[in-house]
Amino acid sequence: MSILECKGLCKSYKAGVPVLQNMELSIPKGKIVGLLGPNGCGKSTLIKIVAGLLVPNSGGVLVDGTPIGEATKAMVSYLPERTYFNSWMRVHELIDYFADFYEDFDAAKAYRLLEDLSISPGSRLKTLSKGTKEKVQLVLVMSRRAKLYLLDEPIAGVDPAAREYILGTIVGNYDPESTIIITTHLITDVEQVLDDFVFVSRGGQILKQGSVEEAREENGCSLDALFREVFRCSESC
Amino acid sequence: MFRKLLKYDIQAVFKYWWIAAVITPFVSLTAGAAIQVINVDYTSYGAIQTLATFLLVMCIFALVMFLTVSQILVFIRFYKNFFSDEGYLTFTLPVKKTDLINSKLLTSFIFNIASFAVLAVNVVIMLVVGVPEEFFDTRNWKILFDIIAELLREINFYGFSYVVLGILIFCALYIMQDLFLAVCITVGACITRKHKVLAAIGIYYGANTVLSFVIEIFSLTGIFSFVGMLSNVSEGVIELSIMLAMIIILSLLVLCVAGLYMLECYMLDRRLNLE
Amino acid sequence: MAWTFNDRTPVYLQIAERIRNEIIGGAYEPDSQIPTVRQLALTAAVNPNTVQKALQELEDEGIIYSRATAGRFVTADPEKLQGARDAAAKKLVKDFLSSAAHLSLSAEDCIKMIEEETK
Repeated sequence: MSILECKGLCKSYKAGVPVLQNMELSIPKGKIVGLLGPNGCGKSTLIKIVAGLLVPNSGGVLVDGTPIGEATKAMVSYLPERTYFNSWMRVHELIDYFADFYEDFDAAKAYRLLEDLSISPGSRLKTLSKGTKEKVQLVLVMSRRAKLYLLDEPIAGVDPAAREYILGTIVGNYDPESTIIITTHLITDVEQVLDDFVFVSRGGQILKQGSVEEAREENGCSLDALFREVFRCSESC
Repeated sequence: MFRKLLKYDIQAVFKYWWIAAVITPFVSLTAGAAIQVINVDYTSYGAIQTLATFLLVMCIFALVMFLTVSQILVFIRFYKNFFSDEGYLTFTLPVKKTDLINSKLLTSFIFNIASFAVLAVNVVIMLVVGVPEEFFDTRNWKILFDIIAELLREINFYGFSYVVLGILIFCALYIMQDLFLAVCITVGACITRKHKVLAAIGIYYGANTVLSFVIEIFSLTGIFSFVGMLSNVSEGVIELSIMLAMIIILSLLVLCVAGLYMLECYMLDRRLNLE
Repeated sequence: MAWTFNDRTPVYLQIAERIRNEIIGGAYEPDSQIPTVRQLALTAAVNPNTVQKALQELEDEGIIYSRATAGRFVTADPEKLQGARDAAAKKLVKDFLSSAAHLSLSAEDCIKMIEEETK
């Protein structure tokens, strides 16, 4: 069974410009999947739809066989590109907040991860640097035992050391019971962490989908090189 | 889930509200002192008393503004929680949209009651400091109680129902105002990507103007035809008609509240557009 | 530090090679336990399924064996280890000679240079 099923998904913003045109996608369970494509091809829009933040104009999305709603939000752990904290809380209050609303939240794990990062639970969110805020957010998202993790550009705009930490956390959190979807345009950094990949181009069209290892073997090159080839062609053809 | 949302909403507003609340006694003390100064028997009405009067007016204004500040804090919380970056967290929580809306409405209600209570305490402070002899003079209180007792004795079925309906209408009006503002903010935030606040303000003033116009026309025609009908009927019918009118107004308000509520739900459900 | 991989061969084979070299080089005593899939995945910053595949490869070669849920251990069989060492050595020499040939160096030139270096 797949964890995510999209059928005939269409979404356009006000300008009448369709961001997603009849997108069909199926993601199997228990894998780390990379949703890879150039900027503006609809990756973030798709993720937001799955997270329940946007409503598609038409088409359906099922998470573990359930349509998007209250039930799926309890199964899905979403890490957006921006930090979404309020300004008045301290770190430990935010942990309590997550523990309050999410049954699958593991507060002990969150405290442990924060300790590894030397982030004091008593610090005010307001006073943390941007990089630290992003790490705290990652810790909170990954401390849930969700069925589906949606990580939207988790390593863009992040220094190499933090990048390693983030990828390490993703790998360390791997659980055959859950699926991790990572969107990014930084393929080199991410390819060795992925099981499967999906190449997405403008309008949400799926150009290629499959196992990373098989693709590397078949084409005798890295996923990054394959990406460039596939998208160079799609731009000019 | 609703209770949890309520807990955090109240917490968030309280963090800033209590600061304003704590300042108010100082304002009312100042007002009380100003009253004292005004009441002193100077041989001539001098500059000091003019200043004191001015100060008193400012203090009363500040106390009334406390109510407004309280409302503003509630709506800032509403806007931030839904339509700023925090919205990414709010709308991915496994909660019903109705719970989110209800929590905000109840928070607004609670803080209004709290603000009124604070205001009442401050009026007492002002009177105690300003006119202590009159305040502690039991004769004045007796006069007040006598008036109230007289009114209560006069009350009959109609009087009672007027009061009840009046309270209900007041509550409905109040909820409607809240929802109206919320809907304006929501619509403004959902249909624009930038300048959400500006859009909300624009929609508020626009809708407000249109609605006021409509309401004025309706109420003027209503009143005129009403008065026309009543000019040649007996007293009992008048009282009944007034009660009926109040019931009609209440029903219309309830309909408006329901309509606005559903509109808010619809906007959040289908038209949410976080950037 | 995350491990880096080249484009030429599948990642799981490169991981297998790296672990094989560590074992041959004596980093692990015979019958001692090697890190788990999870630990290796974290250290290398690689997908755990890929690591699993690599370890499976080594298991098939007989260099490591798994003990139910206790984990994976280095073989105590000296023949297997020697065989792996020989194969790795052969590959090393082959690669070296092939690279040297690209520089127009003959086998004799190579031997002479090795003798000089080791004096």
